[in-house]
Amino acid sequence: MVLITLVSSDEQNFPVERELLKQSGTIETLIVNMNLDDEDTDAAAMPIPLPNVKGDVLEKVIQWMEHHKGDPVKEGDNEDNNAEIVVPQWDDDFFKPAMYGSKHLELTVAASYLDIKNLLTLSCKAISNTFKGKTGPQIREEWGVPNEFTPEEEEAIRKENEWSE
Amino acid sequence: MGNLLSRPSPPSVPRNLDSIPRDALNHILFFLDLPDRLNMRLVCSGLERRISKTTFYNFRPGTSELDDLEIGSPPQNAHQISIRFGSRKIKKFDPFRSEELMHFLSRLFDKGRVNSISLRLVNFNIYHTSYIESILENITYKSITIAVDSHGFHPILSEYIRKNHAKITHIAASECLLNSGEFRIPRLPSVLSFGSRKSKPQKLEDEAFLNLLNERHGEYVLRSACQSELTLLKAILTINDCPVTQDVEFEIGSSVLSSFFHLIGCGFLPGVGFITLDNDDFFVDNPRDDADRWTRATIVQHARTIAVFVGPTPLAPCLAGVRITNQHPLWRHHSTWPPLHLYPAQWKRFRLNEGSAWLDIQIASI
Repeated sequence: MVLITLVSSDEQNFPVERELLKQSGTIETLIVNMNLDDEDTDAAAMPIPLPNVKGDVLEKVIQWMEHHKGDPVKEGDNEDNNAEIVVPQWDDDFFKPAMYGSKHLELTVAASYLDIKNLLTLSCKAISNTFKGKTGPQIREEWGVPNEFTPEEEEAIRKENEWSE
Repeated sequence: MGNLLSRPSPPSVPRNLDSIPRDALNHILFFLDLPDRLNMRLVCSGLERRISKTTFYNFRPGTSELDDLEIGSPPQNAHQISIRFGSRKIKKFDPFRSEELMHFLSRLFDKGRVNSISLRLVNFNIYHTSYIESILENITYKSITIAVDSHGFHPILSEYIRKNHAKITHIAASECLLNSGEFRIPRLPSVLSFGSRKSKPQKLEDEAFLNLLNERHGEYVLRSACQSELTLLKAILTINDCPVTQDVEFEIGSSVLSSFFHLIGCGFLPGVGFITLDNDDFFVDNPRDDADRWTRATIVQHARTIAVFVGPTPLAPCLAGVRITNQHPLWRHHSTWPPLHLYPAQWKRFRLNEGSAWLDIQIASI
Protein backbone atom coordinates (compact mmCIF):
# COMPACT_ATOMS: atom_id res chain seq x y z
CA MET A 1 0.00 0.00 0.00
CA VAL A 2 1.48 3.34 -1.10
CA LEU A 3 1.27 6.12 1.48
CA ILE A 4 1.57 9.82 0.80
CA THR A 5 2.11 12.25 3.65
CA LEU A 6 -0.05 15.33 3.95
CA VAL A 7 1.19 18.14 6.17
CA SER A 8 -1.35 20.42 7.80
CA SER A 9 -0.84 24.12 8.46
CA ASP A 10 0.07 23.37 12.08
CA GLU A 11 2.80 20.95 10.94
CA GLN A 12 0.98 17.71 11.69
CA ASN A 13 1.84 14.81 9.37
CA PHE A 14 -0.87 12.52 8.03
CA PRO A 15 0.26 9.47 6.03
CA VAL A 16 -2.65 8.71 3.73
CA GLU A 17 -3.31 5.79 1.40
CA ARG A 18 -2.62 6.91 -2.19
CA GLU A 19 -5.94 5.51 -3.39
CA LEU A 20 -7.92 7.73 -1.03
CA LEU A 21 -6.37 10.89 -2.42
CA LYS A 22 -7.98 10.34 -5.80
CA GLN A 23 -11.07 11.94 -4.28
CA SER A 24 -9.26 15.27 -4.06
CA GLY A 25 -8.89 17.01 -7.39
CA THR A 26 -6.28 19.41 -6.00
CA ILE A 27 -4.02 16.71 -4.52
CA GLU A 28 -4.48 14.40 -7.48
CA THR A 29 -3.32 17.15 -9.85
CA LEU A 30 -0.28 17.79 -7.65
CA ILE A 31 0.63 14.11 -7.50
CA VAL A 32 0.44 13.76 -11.27
CA ASN A 33 2.25 17.02 -12.04
CA MET A 34 5.04 16.34 -9.54
CA ASN A 35 5.48 12.68 -10.49
CA LEU A 36 4.82 11.66 -6.90
CA ASP A 37 3.49 8.35 -8.20
CA ASP A 38 6.92 7.45 -9.56
CA GLU A 39 8.47 5.28 -6.85
CA ASP A 40 11.88 5.47 -8.53
CA THR A 41 12.27 9.19 -7.90
CA ASP A 42 12.92 11.17 -4.75
CA ALA A 43 9.64 12.94 -5.30
CA ALA A 44 7.74 9.86 -4.17
CA ALA A 45 8.77 10.47 -0.60
CA MET A 46 7.93 14.17 -0.72
CA PRO A 47 5.24 15.29 1.73
CA ILE A 48 2.45 17.53 0.46
CA PRO A 49 1.99 20.69 2.51
CA LEU A 50 -1.56 21.96 2.88
CA PRO A 51 -1.24 25.50 4.23
CA ASN A 52 -4.34 26.79 6.01
CA VAL A 53 -5.92 23.35 6.43
CA LYS A 54 -5.49 22.78 10.14
CA GLY A 55 -4.67 19.37 11.55
CA ASP A 56 -8.03 18.73 13.20
CA VAL A 57 -9.85 19.68 9.99
CA LEU A 58 -7.54 17.59 7.81
CA GLU A 59 -8.10 14.66 10.13
CA LYS A 60 -11.86 14.97 9.58
CA VAL A 61 -11.36 15.24 5.82
CA ILE A 62 -9.28 12.04 5.80
CA GLN A 63 -11.86 10.29 7.98
CA TRP A 64 -14.55 11.28 5.46
CA MET A 65 -12.45 10.10 2.50
CA GLU A 66 -11.80 6.75 4.19
CA HIS A 67 -15.52 6.16 4.59
CA HIS A 68 -16.17 7.16 0.99
CA LYS A 69 -13.27 5.18 -0.47
CA GLY A 70 -14.31 3.77 -3.83
CA ASP A 71 -17.25 6.13 -4.29
CA PRO A 72 -17.46 7.48 -7.82
CA VAL A 73 -15.91 10.93 -8.02
CA LYS A 74 -18.23 13.52 -9.52
CA GLU A 75 -17.28 14.88 -12.91
CA GLY A 76 -18.35 18.50 -13.31
CA ASP A 77 -21.54 19.90 -11.85
CA ASN A 78 -24.92 18.60 -12.77
CA GLU A 79 -26.93 21.28 -11.09
CA ASP A 80 -30.31 19.79 -11.89
CA ASN A 81 -29.43 16.57 -10.07
CA ASN A 82 -27.61 18.29 -7.22
CA ALA A 83 -30.75 20.20 -6.32
CA GLU A 84 -32.47 17.03 -5.15
CA ILE A 85 -29.53 15.52 -3.27
CA VAL A 86 -30.14 13.98 0.17
CA VAL A 87 -27.44 13.80 2.84
CA PRO A 88 -26.96 10.10 3.74
CA GLN A 89 -27.33 9.13 7.41
CA TRP A 90 -23.60 8.43 7.93
CA ASP A 91 -22.65 11.85 6.58
CA ASP A 92 -25.38 13.54 8.59
CA ASP A 93 -23.97 11.95 11.76
CA PHE A 94 -20.46 12.91 10.63
CA PHE A 95 -21.34 16.59 10.26
CA LYS A 96 -23.61 16.83 13.29
CA PRO A 97 -21.01 17.33 16.06
CA ALA A 98 -19.51 20.31 14.24
CA MET A 99 -22.81 21.77 13.09
CA TYR A 100 -23.62 25.41 13.89
CA GLY A 101 -19.92 26.11 14.45
CA SER A 102 -16.82 27.31 12.69
CA LYS A 103 -15.48 23.74 12.42
CA HIS A 104 -18.16 22.80 9.92
CA LEU A 105 -17.45 25.93 7.94
CA GLU A 106 -13.71 25.14 7.99
CA LEU A 107 -14.44 21.62 6.76
CA THR A 108 -16.50 23.08 3.93
CA VAL A 109 -13.77 25.51 2.94
CA ALA A 110 -11.19 22.70 3.08
CA ALA A 111 -13.40 20.56 0.81
CA SER A 112 -13.60 23.47 -1.61
CA TYR A 113 -9.84 24.08 -1.50
CA LEU A 114 -8.96 20.41 -1.86
CA ASP A 115 -11.61 20.03 -4.58
CA ILE A 116 -13.38 17.08 -2.98
CA LYS A 117 -16.65 17.55 -4.83
CA ASN A 118 -18.77 15.01 -3.00
CA LEU A 119 -17.70 16.28 0.43
CA LEU A 120 -18.27 19.89 -0.61
CA THR A 121 -21.74 19.10 -1.94
CA LEU A 122 -22.82 17.12 1.11
CA SER A 123 -21.32 19.58 3.55
CA CYS A 124 -23.02 22.55 1.89
CA LYS A 125 -26.27 20.65 1.70
CA ALA A 126 -26.04 19.85 5.42
CA ILE A 127 -25.43 23.53 6.20
CA SER A 128 -28.27 24.67 3.96
CA ASN A 129 -30.59 22.21 5.71
CA THR A 130 -30.08 24.20 8.93
CA PHE A 131 -31.48 27.28 7.17
CA LYS A 132 -34.53 25.77 5.56
CA GLY A 133 -37.82 27.15 6.82
CA LYS A 134 -36.06 29.27 9.47
CA THR A 135 -36.43 32.99 10.00
CA GLY A 136 -33.41 35.29 10.09
CA PRO A 137 -33.50 35.62 13.91
CA GLN A 138 -33.78 31.81 14.31
CA ILE A 139 -30.69 31.29 12.15
CA ARG A 140 -28.88 34.01 14.10
CA GLU A 141 -29.65 32.26 17.36
CA GLU A 142 -28.68 28.77 16.18
CA TRP A 143 -25.41 29.89 14.61
CA GLY A 144 -24.58 32.40 17.33
CA VAL A 145 -24.53 35.39 15.00
CA PRO A 146 -24.97 38.77 16.75
CA ASN A 147 -27.80 40.97 15.51
CA GLU A 148 -26.23 43.97 13.83
CA PHE A 149 -29.42 45.42 12.39
CA THR A 150 -31.27 48.37 13.83
CA PRO A 151 -35.04 47.73 14.07
CA GLU A 152 -35.48 50.12 11.15
CA GLU A 153 -32.99 48.28 8.96
CA GLU A 154 -34.55 44.94 9.79
CA GLU A 155 -38.02 46.26 8.98
CA ALA A 156 -36.79 47.65 5.65
CA ILE A 157 -35.42 44.24 4.62
CA ARG A 158 -38.61 42.51 5.75
CA LYS A 159 -40.62 44.90 3.61
CA GLU A 160 -38.38 44.26 0.64
CA ASN A 161 -38.82 40.51 1.18
CA GLU A 162 -42.60 40.76 0.94
CA TRP A 163 -44.28 39.51 -2.23
CA SER A 164 -47.75 40.49 -3.33
CA GLU A 165 -50.80 38.19 -3.70
CA MET B 1 8.77 21.40 -3.48
CA GLY B 2 9.00 25.01 -4.60
CA ASN B 3 6.18 24.42 -7.06
CA LEU B 4 3.99 22.93 -4.39
CA LEU B 5 4.37 25.95 -2.19
CA SER B 6 3.75 28.38 -5.02
CA ARG B 7 0.14 27.33 -5.38
CA PRO B 8 -2.41 30.08 -4.77
CA SER B 9 -3.21 30.41 -1.10
CA PRO B 10 -6.53 29.00 0.01
CA PRO B 11 -9.16 31.30 1.45
CA SER B 12 -8.80 32.27 5.07
CA VAL B 13 -10.43 30.19 7.75
CA PRO B 14 -14.06 31.21 8.29
CA ARG B 15 -15.08 32.06 11.84
CA ASN B 16 -18.80 32.49 11.23
CA LEU B 17 -21.47 32.50 8.56
CA ASP B 18 -20.53 36.00 7.50
CA SER B 19 -17.00 34.99 6.57
CA ILE B 20 -17.75 31.94 4.42
CA PRO B 21 -15.81 32.28 1.17
CA ARG B 22 -17.92 33.27 -1.80
CA ASP B 23 -17.66 29.92 -3.59
CA ALA B 24 -18.81 28.00 -0.54
CA LEU B 25 -21.60 30.51 0.09
CA ASN B 26 -22.76 30.07 -3.50
CA HIS B 27 -22.74 26.32 -3.00
CA ILE B 28 -24.83 26.58 0.18
CA LEU B 29 -27.30 28.99 -1.38
CA PHE B 30 -27.67 26.66 -4.36
CA PHE B 31 -29.75 24.37 -2.16
CA LEU B 32 -32.05 27.10 -0.88
CA ASP B 33 -35.25 28.25 -2.49
CA LEU B 34 -36.29 31.87 -2.73
CA PRO B 35 -38.04 32.25 0.65
CA ASP B 36 -35.04 30.78 2.49
CA ARG B 37 -32.70 32.95 0.48
CA LEU B 38 -34.70 36.01 1.47
CA ASN B 39 -34.65 34.95 5.12
CA MET B 40 -30.87 34.60 4.98
CA ARG B 41 -30.68 38.33 4.28
CA LEU B 42 -32.10 38.93 7.75
CA VAL B 43 -29.30 37.06 9.54
CA CYS B 44 -26.65 39.78 9.51
CA SER B 45 -25.62 42.76 7.45
CA GLY B 46 -22.65 40.90 5.99
CA LEU B 47 -24.85 38.16 4.54
CA GLU B 48 -27.47 40.70 3.53
CA ARG B 49 -24.83 42.45 1.46
CA ARG B 50 -23.08 39.37 0.15
CA ILE B 51 -26.18 37.46 -0.97
CA SER B 52 -26.80 40.06 -3.64
CA LYS B 53 -23.37 39.15 -5.05
CA THR B 54 -24.09 35.45 -5.36
CA THR B 55 -25.74 33.26 -7.96
CA PHE B 56 -29.42 32.42 -7.60
CA TYR B 57 -30.47 28.98 -8.77
CA ASN B 58 -34.09 28.16 -9.29
CA PHE B 59 -34.68 24.74 -10.77
CA ARG B 60 -37.62 23.80 -8.62
CA PRO B 61 -40.80 25.58 -9.58
CA GLY B 62 -42.73 23.18 -7.34
CA THR B 63 -45.07 22.11 -10.08
CA SER B 64 -44.54 21.16 -13.69
CA GLU B 65 -47.25 23.66 -14.61
CA LEU B 66 -44.95 26.53 -13.74
CA ASP B 67 -41.76 27.76 -15.30
CA ASP B 68 -38.79 28.59 -13.10
CA LEU B 69 -39.13 32.27 -13.88
CA GLU B 70 -42.15 34.02 -15.30
CA ILE B 71 -42.23 37.59 -16.51
CA GLY B 72 -45.67 38.78 -17.38
CA SER B 73 -48.44 41.27 -17.17
CA PRO B 74 -51.31 40.53 -14.78
CA PRO B 75 -54.60 40.06 -16.66
CA GLN B 76 -56.26 42.80 -14.60
CA ASN B 77 -53.59 45.35 -15.46
CA ALA B 78 -51.82 44.84 -18.76
CA HIS B 79 -49.67 47.91 -18.11
CA GLN B 80 -48.11 46.40 -15.01
CA ILE B 81 -45.20 44.00 -15.16
CA SER B 82 -44.79 41.14 -12.75
CA ILE B 83 -42.15 38.60 -11.91
CA ARG B 84 -42.51 35.18 -10.32
CA PHE B 85 -39.87 32.65 -9.39
CA GLY B 86 -41.31 29.14 -9.39
CA SER B 87 -44.29 28.85 -7.10
CA ARG B 88 -43.26 31.94 -5.16
CA LYS B 89 -45.94 34.59 -5.19
CA ILE B 90 -45.84 37.31 -7.73
CA LYS B 91 -44.00 40.59 -7.30
CA LYS B 92 -45.63 43.38 -9.26
CA PHE B 93 -43.97 46.54 -10.44
CA ASP B 94 -45.45 49.78 -11.60
CA PRO B 95 -45.34 50.50 -15.29
CA PHE B 96 -42.78 52.99 -16.54
CA ARG B 97 -40.69 52.60 -13.37
CA SER B 98 -38.47 49.89 -14.69
CA GLU B 99 -35.64 50.82 -12.34
CA GLU B 100 -37.66 49.35 -9.45
CA LEU B 101 -37.60 45.89 -10.99
CA MET B 102 -33.95 46.13 -11.91
CA HIS B 103 -33.06 47.26 -8.39
CA PHE B 104 -35.10 44.42 -6.92
CA LEU B 105 -33.24 41.86 -9.03
CA SER B 106 -29.83 43.36 -8.30
CA ARG B 107 -30.55 43.07 -4.56
CA LEU B 108 -31.61 39.46 -5.00
CA PHE B 109 -28.64 38.08 -6.93
CA ASP B 110 -25.67 38.83 -9.08
CA LYS B 111 -26.35 36.06 -11.55
CA GLY B 112 -29.36 33.81 -11.94
CA ARG B 113 -29.58 30.29 -13.33
CA VAL B 114 -32.89 28.69 -14.20
CA ASN B 115 -34.07 26.02 -16.61
CA SER B 116 -37.13 27.63 -18.10
CA ILE B 117 -38.45 31.13 -18.53
CA SER B 118 -41.86 32.18 -19.66
CA LEU B 119 -42.87 35.52 -21.07
CA ARG B 120 -46.54 35.51 -20.33
CA LEU B 121 -48.78 38.06 -21.99
CA VAL B 122 -46.17 40.77 -21.71
CA ASN B 123 -47.48 43.81 -23.49
CA PHE B 124 -44.70 44.38 -26.03
CA ASN B 125 -46.34 47.62 -27.14
CA ILE B 126 -45.43 49.02 -23.71
CA TYR B 127 -42.40 46.98 -22.77
CA HIS B 128 -39.84 46.82 -25.53
CA THR B 129 -38.08 43.49 -25.97
CA SER B 130 -34.84 45.28 -25.04
CA TYR B 131 -36.35 45.79 -21.58
CA ILE B 132 -37.00 42.05 -21.30
CA GLU B 133 -33.44 41.43 -22.46
CA SER B 134 -32.10 43.77 -19.79
CA ILE B 135 -34.05 41.83 -17.13
CA LEU B 136 -32.61 38.57 -18.41
CA GLU B 137 -29.11 39.95 -18.93
CA ASN B 138 -27.63 38.24 -15.89
CA ILE B 139 -29.83 35.17 -15.99
CA THR B 140 -28.82 31.95 -17.72
CA TYR B 141 -31.65 29.75 -18.96
CA LYS B 142 -32.25 26.82 -21.27
CA SER B 143 -35.70 27.38 -22.69
CA ILE B 144 -38.30 30.06 -23.24
CA THR B 145 -42.04 29.83 -23.47
CA ILE B 146 -43.86 32.77 -24.99
CA ALA B 147 -47.55 33.48 -24.64
CA VAL B 148 -48.78 36.47 -26.55
CA ASP B 149 -52.13 37.89 -27.57
CA SER B 150 -53.15 40.44 -30.15
CA HIS B 151 -53.09 43.30 -27.59
CA GLY B 152 -49.54 42.59 -26.48
CA PHE B 153 -48.08 41.68 -29.86
CA HIS B 154 -45.64 44.03 -31.51
CA PRO B 155 -43.63 43.19 -34.65
CA ILE B 156 -40.44 43.64 -32.58
CA LEU B 157 -41.32 40.33 -30.89
CA SER B 158 -40.65 38.54 -34.17
CA GLU B 159 -37.10 39.87 -34.06
CA TYR B 160 -36.73 38.73 -30.46
CA ILE B 161 -37.97 35.27 -31.45
CA ARG B 162 -35.51 35.20 -34.34
CA LYS B 163 -32.63 36.03 -32.01
CA ASN B 164 -33.63 33.42 -29.45
CA HIS B 165 -35.08 30.78 -31.75
CA ALA B 166 -32.86 27.98 -30.45
CA LYS B 167 -34.22 28.34 -26.92
CA ILE B 168 -37.91 28.77 -27.70
CA THR B 169 -39.78 25.58 -26.98
CA HIS B 170 -43.39 26.66 -26.65
CA ILE B 171 -45.41 29.42 -28.20
CA ALA B 172 -48.96 30.20 -27.32
CA ALA B 173 -50.40 32.83 -29.61
CA SER B 174 -54.02 33.76 -29.29
CA GLU B 175 -56.52 32.69 -31.94
CA CYS B 176 -57.17 36.30 -32.82
CA LEU B 177 -53.47 37.01 -33.34
CA LEU B 178 -52.85 33.89 -35.44
CA ASN B 179 -55.84 34.60 -37.66
CA SER B 180 -54.81 38.23 -38.09
CA GLY B 181 -51.83 37.21 -40.21
CA GLU B 182 -49.60 39.67 -38.30
CA PHE B 183 -47.87 36.96 -36.34
CA ARG B 184 -44.98 36.19 -38.64
CA ILE B 185 -42.22 34.27 -36.96
CA PRO B 186 -39.13 32.52 -38.24
CA ARG B 187 -38.82 28.76 -38.43
CA LEU B 188 -38.38 27.35 -34.95
CA PRO B 189 -36.52 24.03 -34.93
CA SER B 190 -36.99 23.50 -31.20
CA VAL B 191 -40.60 24.51 -30.77
CA LEU B 192 -42.66 21.82 -29.13
CA SER B 193 -46.10 23.27 -29.14
CA PHE B 194 -48.33 26.06 -30.18
CA GLY B 195 -50.82 26.58 -27.42
CA SER B 196 -51.37 24.00 -24.73
CA ARG B 197 -52.60 20.45 -24.92
CA LYS B 198 -55.03 21.32 -22.18
CA SER B 199 -56.48 24.37 -23.81
CA LYS B 200 -59.39 24.24 -26.18
CA PRO B 201 -58.31 23.97 -29.80
CA GLN B 202 -57.96 27.28 -31.50
CA LYS B 203 -60.37 28.01 -34.29
CA LEU B 204 -57.85 29.01 -36.90
CA GLU B 205 -58.74 30.10 -40.35
CA ASP B 206 -57.59 27.42 -42.78
CA GLU B 207 -55.15 29.85 -44.34
CA ALA B 208 -53.55 30.69 -40.97
CA PHE B 209 -53.38 26.99 -40.13
CA LEU B 210 -51.68 26.07 -43.40
CA ASN B 211 -49.33 29.04 -43.09
CA LEU B 212 -48.15 27.72 -39.74
CA LEU B 213 -47.65 24.27 -41.21
CA ASN B 214 -45.71 25.79 -44.08
CA GLU B 215 -43.30 27.38 -41.62
CA ARG B 216 -42.03 23.84 -41.04
CA HIS B 217 -41.22 24.16 -37.39
CA GLY B 218 -39.87 21.07 -35.64
CA GLU B 219 -42.00 18.62 -33.75
CA TYR B 220 -44.93 20.40 -32.27
CA VAL B 221 -48.52 20.20 -31.33
CA LEU B 222 -50.76 22.68 -33.04
CA ARG B 223 -54.15 22.58 -31.52
CA SER B 224 -56.34 23.84 -34.25
CA ALA B 225 -59.69 23.22 -35.80
CA CYS B 226 -59.44 22.07 -39.40
CA GLN B 227 -62.38 23.38 -41.31
CA SER B 228 -62.45 21.54 -44.60
CA GLU B 229 -61.41 18.21 -46.12
CA LEU B 230 -59.22 20.05 -48.62
CA THR B 231 -57.39 21.75 -45.75
CA LEU B 232 -56.82 18.36 -44.16
CA LEU B 233 -55.48 16.99 -47.42
CA LYS B 234 -53.22 20.02 -47.90
CA ALA B 235 -52.02 19.60 -44.31
CA ILE B 236 -51.07 15.98 -44.99
CA LEU B 237 -49.25 16.90 -48.18
CA THR B 238 -47.47 19.81 -46.48
CA ILE B 239 -46.27 17.61 -43.64
CA ASN B 240 -45.19 14.98 -46.16
CA ASP B 241 -43.03 17.58 -47.92
CA CYS B 242 -41.31 18.64 -44.73
CA PRO B 243 -37.79 17.24 -44.38
CA VAL B 244 -38.00 17.16 -40.59
CA THR B 245 -40.35 15.27 -38.37
CA GLN B 246 -43.60 16.99 -37.65
CA ASP B 247 -46.30 15.95 -35.27
CA VAL B 248 -49.42 18.00 -35.74
CA GLU B 249 -52.42 17.46 -33.60
CA PHE B 250 -55.68 19.13 -34.39
CA GLU B 251 -59.37 18.61 -34.21
CA ILE B 252 -61.57 17.87 -37.16
CA GLY B 253 -65.29 18.21 -37.46
CA SER B 254 -66.90 14.82 -37.99
CA SER B 255 -68.40 15.92 -41.25
CA VAL B 256 -65.01 17.18 -42.48
CA LEU B 257 -63.41 13.87 -41.60
CA SER B 258 -66.13 11.97 -43.41
CA SER B 259 -65.67 14.14 -46.48
CA PHE B 260 -61.93 13.60 -46.30
CA PHE B 261 -62.33 9.83 -46.41
CA HIS B 262 -64.61 10.20 -49.39
CA LEU B 263 -62.06 12.46 -51.02
CA ILE B 264 -59.27 9.91 -50.80
CA GLY B 265 -61.63 7.20 -51.95
CA CYS B 266 -61.93 4.96 -48.96
CA GLY B 267 -65.03 3.76 -47.24
CA PHE B 268 -68.54 5.02 -47.69
CA LEU B 269 -70.73 6.97 -45.36
CA PRO B 270 -74.11 5.72 -44.33
CA GLY B 271 -74.61 8.87 -42.27
CA VAL B 272 -72.93 12.01 -41.06
CA GLY B 273 -69.91 11.34 -38.93
CA PHE B 274 -69.95 7.56 -39.34
CA ILE B 275 -67.31 5.96 -41.51
CA THR B 276 -67.39 2.36 -42.62
CA LEU B 277 -64.32 0.66 -43.95
CA ASP B 278 -64.00 -3.06 -44.66
CA ASN B 279 -64.59 -4.00 -41.06
CA ASP B 280 -65.97 -0.85 -39.46
CA ASP B 281 -62.69 0.19 -37.91
CA PHE B 282 -63.65 3.80 -37.70
CA PHE B 283 -66.36 5.01 -35.47
CA VAL B 284 -65.84 8.72 -35.50
CA ASP B 285 -68.61 9.81 -33.23
CA ASN B 286 -72.25 9.29 -32.55
CA PRO B 287 -73.92 9.83 -35.91
CA ARG B 288 -76.26 12.54 -34.86
CA ASP B 289 -77.28 15.65 -36.70
CA ASP B 290 -74.66 17.67 -34.91
CA ALA B 291 -72.18 18.30 -37.68
CA ASP B 292 -69.92 20.34 -35.41
CA ARG B 293 -68.68 17.48 -33.25
CA TRP B 294 -64.91 17.30 -33.22
CA THR B 295 -62.54 14.40 -33.34
CA ARG B 296 -58.89 14.66 -32.43
CA ALA B 297 -56.49 13.76 -35.19
CA THR B 298 -52.74 13.52 -35.05
CA ILE B 299 -50.70 13.48 -38.21
CA VAL B 300 -47.19 12.13 -37.89
CA GLN B 301 -44.62 11.96 -40.61
CA HIS B 302 -42.64 8.85 -39.98
CA ALA B 303 -39.83 8.04 -42.39
CA ARG B 304 -41.76 9.70 -45.19
CA THR B 305 -44.89 7.74 -44.47
CA ILE B 306 -47.76 9.76 -43.19
CA ALA B 307 -49.70 8.33 -40.31
CA VAL B 308 -53.01 9.78 -39.31
CA PHE B 309 -54.29 8.86 -35.89
CA VAL B 310 -57.94 9.41 -35.30
CA GLY B 311 -59.56 9.05 -31.94
CA PRO B 312 -60.42 10.63 -28.64
CA THR B 313 -57.23 9.50 -26.88
CA PRO B 314 -54.25 11.86 -26.96
CA LEU B 315 -51.33 10.33 -28.77
CA ALA B 316 -48.68 11.19 -26.22
CA PRO B 317 -49.39 8.36 -23.72
CA CYS B 318 -49.00 5.83 -26.53
CA LEU B 319 -45.56 7.19 -27.35
CA ALA B 320 -44.09 7.34 -23.88
CA GLY B 321 -41.28 5.00 -23.03
CA VAL B 322 -41.03 3.24 -26.38
CA ARG B 323 -37.67 3.18 -28.10
CA ILE B 324 -36.97 3.51 -31.76
CA THR B 325 -35.74 0.29 -33.33
CA ASN B 326 -35.14 1.42 -36.89
CA GLN B 327 -34.02 4.98 -36.63
CA HIS B 328 -34.50 7.10 -39.69
CA PRO B 329 -31.62 9.50 -40.41
CA LEU B 330 -33.98 12.44 -40.24
CA TRP B 331 -35.10 11.58 -36.74
CA ARG B 332 -33.72 13.69 -34.03
CA HIS B 333 -31.56 11.92 -31.51
CA HIS B 334 -33.97 12.59 -28.66
CA SER B 335 -37.02 11.24 -30.39
CA THR B 336 -38.62 8.29 -28.68
CA TRP B 337 -41.14 7.49 -31.32
CA PRO B 338 -41.49 3.86 -32.24
CA PRO B 339 -41.98 2.35 -35.69
CA LEU B 340 -45.57 2.54 -36.74
CA HIS B 341 -46.23 -1.16 -36.32
CA LEU B 342 -45.63 -0.80 -32.58
CA TYR B 343 -48.50 1.59 -32.07
CA PRO B 344 -51.46 0.05 -30.31
CA ALA B 345 -53.78 0.67 -33.16
CA GLN B 346 -55.71 -0.92 -35.95
CA TRP B 347 -54.16 0.16 -39.22
CA LYS B 348 -55.54 0.81 -42.66
CA ARG B 349 -53.21 1.72 -45.47
CA PHE B 350 -54.03 3.84 -48.49
CA ARG B 351 -52.10 5.20 -51.40
CA LEU B 352 -52.84 8.66 -52.59
CA ASN B 353 -51.73 9.90 -55.96
CA GLU B 354 -49.80 13.07 -55.27
CA GLY B 355 -49.00 14.40 -58.74
CA SER B 356 -46.54 11.96 -60.20
CA ALA B 357 -45.74 10.21 -56.92
CA TRP B 358 -47.68 7.98 -54.61
CA LEU B 359 -48.09 8.97 -51.03
CA ASP B 360 -48.55 6.27 -48.44
CA ILE B 361 -51.11 7.16 -45.83
CA GLN B 362 -51.66 4.92 -42.87
CA ILE B 363 -54.69 5.62 -40.79
CA ALA B 364 -55.40 4.21 -37.39
CA SER B 365 -58.08 4.65 -34.82
CA ILE B 366 -56.85 4.67 -31.25
